Amino acid sequence: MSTTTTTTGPDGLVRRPPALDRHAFGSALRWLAFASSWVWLGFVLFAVGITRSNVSTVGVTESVVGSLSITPRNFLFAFAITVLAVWFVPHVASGRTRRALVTASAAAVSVAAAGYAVLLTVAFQVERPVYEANGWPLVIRTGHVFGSGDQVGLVLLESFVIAAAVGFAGLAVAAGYRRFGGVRGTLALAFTATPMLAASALLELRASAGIGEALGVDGLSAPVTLVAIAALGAVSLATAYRLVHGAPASRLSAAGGER
Amino acid sequence: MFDGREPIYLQIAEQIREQVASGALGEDEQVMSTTQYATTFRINPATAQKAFAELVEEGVLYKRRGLGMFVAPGARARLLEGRRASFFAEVVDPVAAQARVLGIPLADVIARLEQHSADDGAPRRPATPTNPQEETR
Amino acid sequence: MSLAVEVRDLTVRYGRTTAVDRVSFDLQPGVIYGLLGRNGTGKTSLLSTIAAFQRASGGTIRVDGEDPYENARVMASTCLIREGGDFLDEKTKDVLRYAAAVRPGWDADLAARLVDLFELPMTKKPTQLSRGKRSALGVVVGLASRAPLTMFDEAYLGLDAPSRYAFYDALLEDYAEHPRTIVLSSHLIEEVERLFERVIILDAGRVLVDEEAEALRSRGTTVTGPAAAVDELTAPWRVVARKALGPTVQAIVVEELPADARARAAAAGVELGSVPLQDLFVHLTSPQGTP
Repeated sequence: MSTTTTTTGPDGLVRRPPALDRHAFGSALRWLAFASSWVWLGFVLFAVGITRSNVSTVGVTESVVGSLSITPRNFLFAFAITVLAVWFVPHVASGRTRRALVTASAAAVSVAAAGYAVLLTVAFQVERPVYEANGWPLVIRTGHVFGSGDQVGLVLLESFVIAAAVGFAGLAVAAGYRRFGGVRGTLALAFTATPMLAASALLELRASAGIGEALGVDGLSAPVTLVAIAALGAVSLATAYRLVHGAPASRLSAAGGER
Repeated sequence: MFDGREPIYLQIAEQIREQVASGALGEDEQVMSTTQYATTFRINPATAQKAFAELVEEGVLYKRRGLGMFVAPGARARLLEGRRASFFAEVVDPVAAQARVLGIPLADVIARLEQHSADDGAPRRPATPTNPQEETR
Repeated sequence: MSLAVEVRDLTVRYGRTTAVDRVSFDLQPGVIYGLLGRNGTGKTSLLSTIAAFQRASGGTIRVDGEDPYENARVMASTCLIREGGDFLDEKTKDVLRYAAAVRPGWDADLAARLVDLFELPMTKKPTQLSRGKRSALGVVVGLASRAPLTMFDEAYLGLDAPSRYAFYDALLEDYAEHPRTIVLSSHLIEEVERLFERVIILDAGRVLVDEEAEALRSRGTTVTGPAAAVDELTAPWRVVARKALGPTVQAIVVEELPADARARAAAAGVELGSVPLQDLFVHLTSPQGTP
């Protein structure tokens, strides 16, 4: 027969499917893994390339992993948008609920975020011996709650929380476009994308040469920052569920006439 | 099979009546199932079912639970009797009306029928004047 | 294994356009329905709303007694195949694998047989397929899903004639073995009308007809003869069309004729004939047909 995520009772009628749609989760995760592998390949290439280039020019003045640390999660934001936007119509057309897609996508994004956290932490550990051997300063100028790559636990936690929050915001953005269409979906960015910007800004406040310094603000303490980011992530997820509920499974490129 | 004009269930019913009347379908013989009708003639099985329902009410078919529809005993006799009863009103009277419209004397029609009767072996009646228009039939 | 549907005062609006206007009808379980209507009469909106692809603007839908919208159990039991299909752009074999994984009633053997029947290329993506093959893919998914409520929204119109007939045969065969509630929306009425048990005709977003197909056909009658005789005979009946050819007039009526109608017609020198569903549809949905 088939490996289904729902079961058919003895009367032939379908029982309620489980909350986590395993198939959608698997598809989303495979797509995220595939797309992310390019991001991290690029990360490695850029890290090596920038360092090499700096060595012979201005010299190495900061942690290259630190300077590249913002980029991957922004890609996750974009990938999360595509996961929900692209799968939406086939998912609903195959008889599953919209909220099941959000749940499956959020689960996949969370796993990806954990993966990103691990990879970033590993990157810091790999960079350390190289920098120490060459006597380069391991200074992190980008905004983080951790001061150095040594603080493995904090690096993992922050990276996971911010990547997940940003990913969930991507789901909210996609849900907004699905719900409202192109023009109003863009206007909806005002509330679908804001949590992600706010979360990034919270971290940026802690940068040694960034918004914080310009505003003369020191940034919130580490625990408060992380909790705030997690809360913003939760708001994004709730927004995604709320917006997707009313989204029609119409093809955005549908021809005119009867719908 | 079954052109698009008359309701199909009527056509099916009539076809079965013909088969029973002619003896092609014998007593207690099974009729094609609704599924067979559906897949053979590309129609909804309920259409065949509707025809069966009508024929059951008429006493032409009966249902054997789990097996299907069968020709009822005595159905042929009943059908032929019914047709005999309406033969004169539905077949003979229109012939007479048509003959009148065409201007053919009824006596000529009767003569024709008597020829058939003679062919069947019945004794011949006294000769009647032939109709010069006969060849135009 | 079949779902019943109740639609009450259903309204679907897009901005200022009302596609479906306070429509009410029932779909009996295990019956094949024809949903007919001219282009733009709201058939697609109606089916999309029943399948929970979109929300209604007003009124209620009950599928198996529950509101289908975002209802996991009901949605999993409902399959709507729209023209062009709603598949991910991946290879046919992956589309089928996806469907097999999510449709509880999926029959892989039936799917395999149908893929052979329609000669579907397994390694092409929907965008690389011709319209006919894309339609065939939709049809395969729709049939092999064996959903208790299965709806085809003109999804087979892209098929060429032999493939369409193959689809009708496959549909009837599978329906006979696995009865379910099926809705076929089409404007190729002549071809599909024999598949219906019941017919629902939509006109301008409203239900014009909702009855047994054979009963509707029985009520359609052509009345042909001398003008005066025809007009007198048909005076108390619902005349939906009238054509004059010299002194002869042919009127089409949609009416449960009295028992003596044939006799009276014969006496008046008027002939009675039957009307194909296609013609009935045309006459009922043209401006003269509306009551």
